[in-house]
Amino acid sequence: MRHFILLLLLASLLGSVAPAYALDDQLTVANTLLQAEYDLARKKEVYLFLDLARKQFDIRSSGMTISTIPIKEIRLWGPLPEPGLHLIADKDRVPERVKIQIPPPEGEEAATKPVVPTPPVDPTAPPVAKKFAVQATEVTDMPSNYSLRLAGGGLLAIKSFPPASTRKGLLVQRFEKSLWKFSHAFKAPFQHYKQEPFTELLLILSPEDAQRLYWALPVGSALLIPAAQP
Amino acid sequence: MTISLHQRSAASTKGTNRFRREAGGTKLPRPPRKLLVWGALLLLLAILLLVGWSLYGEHLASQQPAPKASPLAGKPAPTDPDKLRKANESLAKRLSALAAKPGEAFVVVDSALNRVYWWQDGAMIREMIASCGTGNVLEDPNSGRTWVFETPRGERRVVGKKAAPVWMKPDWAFIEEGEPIPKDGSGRAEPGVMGDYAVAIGDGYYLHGTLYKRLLGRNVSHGCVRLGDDDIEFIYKETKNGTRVILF
Repeated sequence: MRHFILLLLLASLLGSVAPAYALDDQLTVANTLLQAEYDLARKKEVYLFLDLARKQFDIRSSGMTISTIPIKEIRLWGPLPEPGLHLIADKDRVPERVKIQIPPPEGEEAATKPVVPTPPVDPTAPPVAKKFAVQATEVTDMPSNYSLRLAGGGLLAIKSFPPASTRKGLLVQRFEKSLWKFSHAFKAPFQHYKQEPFTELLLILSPEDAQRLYWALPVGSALLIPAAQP
Repeated sequence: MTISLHQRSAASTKGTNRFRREAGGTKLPRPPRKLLVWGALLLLLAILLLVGWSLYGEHLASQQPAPKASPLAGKPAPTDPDKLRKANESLAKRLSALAAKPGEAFVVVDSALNRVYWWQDGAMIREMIASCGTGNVLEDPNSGRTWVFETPRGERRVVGKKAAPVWMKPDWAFIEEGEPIPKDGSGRAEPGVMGDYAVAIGDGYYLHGTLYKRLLGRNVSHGCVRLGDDDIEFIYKETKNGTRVILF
């Protein structure tokens, strides 16, 4: 009986020590994030910070937030990635870049191209405004639904919904969350059987913000993820 | 002939009444009750299996290990809470020393939105419409050299300023136009195309004026940041060598 009481006392003592460990963890997480941010700032890199509390991405440089991208909703399948520095290892739906076609030298062009007679210009016709077809990879060419693979193995999925104009669209958006959860729960045992990790951090953004984020996070770029909020 | 009540009812369902029902087509023959029960049981079993599978999937998700963070360079963090607290304070101080000082102005270039911002005392003071890189690829068929016309990312500093700049056409400008690359410096100078002012940020990249003002707001440059006349004049006058320019 005496031993049992002693054991109980020891257990209660250990229990009272537990909050100190939690504080240590907080300090360690803060240290990891500060160390990672300091290293990035020293290298003069632009990096992103996922602010879970404010639901936004901070675009930062030298510890200063120079722009933000708001997040509408955060969903998690499995645990949140470890707090610290995460590098973008791969991303899907990369738009194809325009390859510049080099014109042939003037002499060659004249020799190969048949001469097309230009139609006579009507002097009374109103002037036609020339439209500039810009051949470039712009932010509007970026996808708004995509996934980014983190170097540590996690998946950062970005989703956006255009404003629903039809009843069907509204219905899909209403049941999308349940469908997402169900499809992931259904897929998880298969992934477990294949011994493949299956964690996902899903962020829902507006289509424009999703495109901006895709632009701001090229492969190899750095993302700082803090600890989960209690 | 005598007929029992039971026999009569059987005759009525099998006889003329049956034909009347089929001809009317109002009621289909009912499936056997047993089949219905079995169907319902199977459906219930399928639903139970699906729910169980999903619950198992959710349980597995909670068991997954968290994706690992990248290892950090440098010394490992101290384990003693007091030392850890001091280390954090020191890191925070060193980080804030890298940020802009009070009163320090700097330039921010958003190549996605084609905007340039002038920041001072931690606030954005002026927003300007710009033209950043196209991201197009040029390959020299003769030498195999490749250029990607992107605006660079990261933090740079102003390294020089020029009024009435003259663009010295680099090799890619000749290749892009299908012209032979001059062997010496002749034929490379092109005055006027960079506008009235140019602010160098290193590696041949500039913030400069443009002749193509209608295209401001679009990605049309070869990596430089083009600005309108008033805006480039403002940047030229306000920046000095060493002013930081953050591009993303």
